[in-house]
Amino acid sequence: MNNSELLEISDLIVGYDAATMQRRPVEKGVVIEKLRSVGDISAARIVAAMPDQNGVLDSDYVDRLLVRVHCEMQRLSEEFQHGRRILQLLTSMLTALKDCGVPPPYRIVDIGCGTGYVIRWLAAHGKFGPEVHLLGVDFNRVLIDEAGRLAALERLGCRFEVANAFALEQPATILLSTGVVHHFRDEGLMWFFRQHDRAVTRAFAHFDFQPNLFARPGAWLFHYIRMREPLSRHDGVVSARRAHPAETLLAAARQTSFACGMYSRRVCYLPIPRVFHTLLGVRWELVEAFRNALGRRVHRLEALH
Amino acid sequence: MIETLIVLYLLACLDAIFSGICAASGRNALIHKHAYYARSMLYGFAWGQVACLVALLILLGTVGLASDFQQAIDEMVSVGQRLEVVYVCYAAVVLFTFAVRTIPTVDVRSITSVVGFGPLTLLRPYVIVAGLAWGLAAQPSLTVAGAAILIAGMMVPFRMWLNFMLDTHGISLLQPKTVSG
Repeated sequence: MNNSELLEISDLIVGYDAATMQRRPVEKGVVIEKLRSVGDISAARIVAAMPDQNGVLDSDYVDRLLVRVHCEMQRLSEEFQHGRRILQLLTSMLTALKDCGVPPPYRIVDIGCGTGYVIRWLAAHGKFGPEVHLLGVDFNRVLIDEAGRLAALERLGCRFEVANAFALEQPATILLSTGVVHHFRDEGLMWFFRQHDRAVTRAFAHFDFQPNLFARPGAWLFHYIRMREPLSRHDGVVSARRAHPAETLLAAARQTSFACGMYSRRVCYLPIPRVFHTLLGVRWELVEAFRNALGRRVHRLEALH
Repeated sequence: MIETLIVLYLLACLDAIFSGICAASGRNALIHKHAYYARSMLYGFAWGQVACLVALLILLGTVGLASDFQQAIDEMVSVGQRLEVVYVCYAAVVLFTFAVRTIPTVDVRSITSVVGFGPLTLLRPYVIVAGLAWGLAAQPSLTVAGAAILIAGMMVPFRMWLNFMLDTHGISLLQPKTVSG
């Protein structure tokens, strides 16, 4: 099984109509067959153990499972200080926007936000003014409802919508994502970045696993230790294995009109790779201000072009 | 003897508290959850007391069964001191990792997870077994060895037990009634 053939269970057990974003029933047998066809017998077993009604996966069960899985994933984000990491970068981007006279409001949109950890964390800790709007979008209504419920419980100033991030009534000023980009392959990846190229959108930052020698054993170790759901363990490791190398991401992103580059691939000045690397894009007119706003962290930024 | 018992009790309490945190992690998606984790520590501690009580009963039973109870106590102390050495080393590494994590730097904190807490969590059952093996290397009588194996055998799946309890009863015990993360 090569990495391009790998499939994530969570991608297969929920289906949506692309036009209406309505939920489609998912045939359990079809999912099992797909997983078997790529040789992933353990994943097929995980799906086989899920309840079904007349061969169709029980959607209530799947929804509850996905909420639990996202909760487990949040644990890893917390442990790896992901919210703080994004805030540092975002603060520099917002400073650059202000310094270059880009008028507010600044809409920060998290693509494929799941239960909205990043947006909720930013709302809780970001100390942003009213000119910054935080929005999380996802196709999965259950995850979005859960994100909204959690935000309401803590009275956080952010919103969540079932929506296509690239078709929002008020487009994003800054697009974010975590662990999303590797879901787009080949032409899909090209399409994904082409959607960024809207005048209003000034920057983007996509965080994803960084493929390297340690990625697979590291992902296995952490998902085995920290996750309880077999689906979390499986998909976590597969995500790390499917992650795009920086060259692929840059080739796809550089077809846009943004200045693109990688950010923070290594720990400080050491040759130790980080778990996640970040693909950045900023408008050319913001590059200098952004570099200045990064301050002492500017050494983490690789060539933007 | 009493010092060894106290040290092992404190180590068991520490393990139970950390086990409580581990079992509660990944079950609550709120952002602010200091109270939740404080309760999870208490939850682990409370189950730790149950485990310690069972361990004490096993030890008392062993002394009661021994033909020469003074010899049994001496052997227990000898095994206990060996357990102490292994478990104190492990606890010291865990506490040192916590101390490093207090440095308010994103990278340092992440590194403590990658090279500290992650592997230490994985190693925990092996450390318990290693301590037991080192203790049994003192060649105690069969009854004392049996007691040590029983107690270690109870502590190895302790986290699994807490997970099982939270899987079964949910996390409502760990949070105020008004909040359901």
